[in-house]
Amino acid sequence: MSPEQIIAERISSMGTAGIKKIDLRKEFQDMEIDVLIDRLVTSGDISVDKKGTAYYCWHKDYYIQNLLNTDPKFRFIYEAVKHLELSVNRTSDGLAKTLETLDNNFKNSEKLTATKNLDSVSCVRINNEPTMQLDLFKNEFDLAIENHSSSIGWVELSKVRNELCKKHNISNEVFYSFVEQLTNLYHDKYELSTGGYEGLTVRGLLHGFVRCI
Amino acid sequence: MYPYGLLQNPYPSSPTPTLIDAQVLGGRRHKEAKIAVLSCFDDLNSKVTGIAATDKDFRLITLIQDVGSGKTHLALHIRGLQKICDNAVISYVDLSQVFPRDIYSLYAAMLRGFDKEYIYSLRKAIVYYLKDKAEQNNKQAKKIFNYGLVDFIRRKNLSNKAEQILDGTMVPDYSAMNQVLIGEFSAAELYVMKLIIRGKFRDDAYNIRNMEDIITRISAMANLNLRFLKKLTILQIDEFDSDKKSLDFVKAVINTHLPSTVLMLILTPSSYENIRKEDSSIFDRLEKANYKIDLAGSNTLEEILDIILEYVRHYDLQKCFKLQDENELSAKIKVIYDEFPDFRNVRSMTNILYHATENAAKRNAQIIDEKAIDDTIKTTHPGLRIRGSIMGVPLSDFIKIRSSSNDIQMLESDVRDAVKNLLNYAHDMGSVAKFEAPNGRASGIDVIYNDTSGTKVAVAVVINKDHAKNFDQISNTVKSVGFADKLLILTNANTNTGTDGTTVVNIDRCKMTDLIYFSSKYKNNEILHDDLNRALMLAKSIKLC
Repeated sequence: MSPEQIIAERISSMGTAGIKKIDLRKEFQDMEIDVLIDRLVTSGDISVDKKGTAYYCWHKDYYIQNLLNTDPKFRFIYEAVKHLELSVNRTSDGLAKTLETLDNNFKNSEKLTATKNLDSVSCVRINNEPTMQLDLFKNEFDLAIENHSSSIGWVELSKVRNELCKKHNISNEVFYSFVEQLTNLYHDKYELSTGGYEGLTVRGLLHGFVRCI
Repeated sequence: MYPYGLLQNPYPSSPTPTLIDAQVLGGRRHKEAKIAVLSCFDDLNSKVTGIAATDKDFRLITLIQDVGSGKTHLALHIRGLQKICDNAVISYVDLSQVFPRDIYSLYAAMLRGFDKEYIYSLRKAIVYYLKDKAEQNNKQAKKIFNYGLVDFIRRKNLSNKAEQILDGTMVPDYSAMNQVLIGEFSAAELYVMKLIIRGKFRDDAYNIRNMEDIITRISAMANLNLRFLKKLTILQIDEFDSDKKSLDFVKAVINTHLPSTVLMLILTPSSYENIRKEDSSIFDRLEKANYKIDLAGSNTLEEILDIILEYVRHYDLQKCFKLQDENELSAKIKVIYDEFPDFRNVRSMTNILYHATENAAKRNAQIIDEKAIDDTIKTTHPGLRIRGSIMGVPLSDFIKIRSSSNDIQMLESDVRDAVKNLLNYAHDMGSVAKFEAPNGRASGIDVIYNDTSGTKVAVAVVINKDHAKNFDQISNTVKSVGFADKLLILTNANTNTGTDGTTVVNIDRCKMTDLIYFSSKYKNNEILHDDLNRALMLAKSIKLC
């Protein structure tokens, strides 16, 4: 172990309390403490600061904690910087998520072309290829509601979506496009309810439950 | 003066119902639900005949439906019914107002849920019960009223003393009360009676230590209600959700089988599902509720119409709201309902009607007219547009056109005129060459014109209620056209079967409305700058140019 390492370890062992330079000199009389300390300060492994009338040495891992404990000004500035850092991180996370959503929406809108004809039975098309007739979807949808419904008749749309998307190999977007058409066309037959984690947005509220009236 | 000769706006203005708003209950499904709840009370009433109830005399009612569908309205309506006031005491708790949730705050909310009249009547009943005991020469009972020789000499009777206790000018002897009533009432009942006499009923929330205390007190209260007032106790808990503390509270209430009590839980399907995930034990109890009130279809047109009309009927003291008015208002509401999915909800619709009624009243309109509805939607929902309308038809015009288009022949004739006007306009704009009127050879052809590439286009408008007729008519028209390069058929039949040189364009009600609206503006020289491009877009959308 080099003399620097020995000194650094000794300083580190004192934790946030630090150690007096003079004590180091006494303890390691055979070493050139001032030179070693200068080297360690230059390499950033330790910090030297005046406490009262004496010079103290702290290991880099404990110096900031010592300042936080003893210097209120430093603590306030440190907390402010931390807060700023957190807020910047959040903003950048939010930005990344928004970009991702936009990117997905863009891709989906390219893929999905849903024909909506309120007066007629229609079908949803992806890349202009019909995937399923609406009346066929309606039958499957009704059946799934019947199978999954609780004693009060309501079903989470996500459950129905899981089943139908898997069974007919359709995407979530196509599924919800169908559901939107169905609930608009047959609004006297289906009822939507708010809540859940996915569904249709009506009046700005997520409606994640459905049932047949 | 409000429309239909009403003295006030019949519709509620607040987003959530108040007791006064809830006096009116419309809608078949809501009325059926009310009957179901009342039958539950009747059933329990018939079982509780004596002065003490048993743990069999407990009922659980769940009322589950989406937000804004009228659950709270129904609960408050029931609370305000004379029949209920005569036979039950109700505590209504809105859990959305209880925060933070713990057993103390929940109990405090429940105590606040009882109205002052109830507390006063129970207090009076208890004091007079004690007075009756004293009058039966029960010495200890007389002690409660501190009734002595001086009172006798001053010709004060026990009724005077009872009134003094009630108005707070005299404090009864509570230790004597204990001696008189012990054995007849449980310790918890005695405790609650004293609290009530002291006027500290609602402060009890600060005295309880645990759930057991709460249950004992509520149970005692229910017994006292039955004993002194001959009334059932109804606990209505609105906005019930999967919050752990609320679940624990309700679970304890259900498990205790509170005597002569009905617990009515009001929640959304989403909360019901969350409860299932959160606590299977309480979910199981909810599943086994005595009555599961279902408001299925509470947002259907039929239901909303009846609710809307019921408000007017209720406040129509002079009977000015005639059947014709009902039909006209219903037609307008139907258009709003059909065109705006956002308003397929009782709360949203009553809100629109509230503002429309105010608007009509300001203009001294006798009815809630199209303008009132149009202005309201423009003001309250400025972003809303008629779905699929290219011309941006205002709602007021949309309602008028929709009501006049019930006559199919008139509709066909209007659409024909509109197509001619649109072609005229397209010609003015240089998009098509001048058109000519069809000659005798062309049966069913309404207009012939040359498009920009010189193709001679014959246009036929075919609109029928019976789509089979449309197909015959289209087929006849196709056969008769030999002189045009291209035949364009505009129809409401769901077909796009065109033969060579024939194009069939389906025009739905919205397109027809667009055409008629344009035509009306065109005829009245009201075409504005904004309409120019829209009209050409409309012509393109039906392949006229």
